[in-house]
Amino acid sequence: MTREPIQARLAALPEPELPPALWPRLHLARVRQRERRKRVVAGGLAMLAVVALPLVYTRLAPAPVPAPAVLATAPRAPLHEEPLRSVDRALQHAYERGASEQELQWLWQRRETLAEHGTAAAPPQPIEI
Amino acid sequence: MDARTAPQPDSEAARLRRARRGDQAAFEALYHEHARAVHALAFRLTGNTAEAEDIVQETFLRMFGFLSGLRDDTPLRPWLKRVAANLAIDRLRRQHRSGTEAELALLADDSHASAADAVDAEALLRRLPPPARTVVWLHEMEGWSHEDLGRRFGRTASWSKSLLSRALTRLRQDLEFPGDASHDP
Repeated sequence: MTREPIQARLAALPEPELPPALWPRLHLARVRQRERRKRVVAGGLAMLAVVALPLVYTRLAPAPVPAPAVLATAPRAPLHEEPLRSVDRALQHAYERGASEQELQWLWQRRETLAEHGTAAAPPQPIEI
Repeated sequence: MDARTAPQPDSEAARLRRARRGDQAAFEALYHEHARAVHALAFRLTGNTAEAEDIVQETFLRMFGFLSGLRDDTPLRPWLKRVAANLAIDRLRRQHRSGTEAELALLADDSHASAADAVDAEALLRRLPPPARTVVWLHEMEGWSHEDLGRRFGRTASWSKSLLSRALTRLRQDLEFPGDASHDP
């Protein structure tokens, strides 16, 4: 027998019936496959976000603006200026009203201290006798 | 759209394009158009209903996953049959790790088809060892070359030639002299 009859016999074989349950089975498998892919994609995106977030944040966050040169170099008013003026006013008032030598001495002492140390604690208040 | 490239509304290319866009009905239409042929091939190669169904499922899942890579202008069925055949061969390679000599020896065993089997070519085909059956069917019916067969099986073209030659001899003997063991080479 030659090859042709074998080929003819094989070609003449009837096609087996396609099981009707195969499509529902395939459909279900495909739905699962898509869900699995969605989970993989979502997981990948989440992972990417976690990795990229710090990078994006550092690029998007405004860089700390350096203080303007004018402000940085401007001389600040001495912190003790106001108390000093106050003491000056008190001294002027004390001379006008003829305050005691003790009170004047205390005010001068207070002024010297402020002029030297700024916000240094005030010396003990004179006690009126 | 260019009139030369626009597919007919009911053509396979049109169904492929719709399927790419997620059209469920197009998927189902493609399946019903080709599943029977793919199933028949898988059954011929495996000789097993359950395995054939598994191969059909895997083939179409691959098609669905590869829709964007499939060309509109080439018929889908040869691609599907190629995938199914490759899957069947891969299964065979996992199941039968015997060497060439063992495969050829299986073809030279003393058991021959009965007269009843000889009438049924399908039964004769199933009596061949699985690698021989696969080589016979893919070469004789699907037009695979010996180079392709050898490569897919991880062997050589001469392995495929030798297996095919012995398998065809065996088939001829069973068809001509069913139940006769005296004609063994």
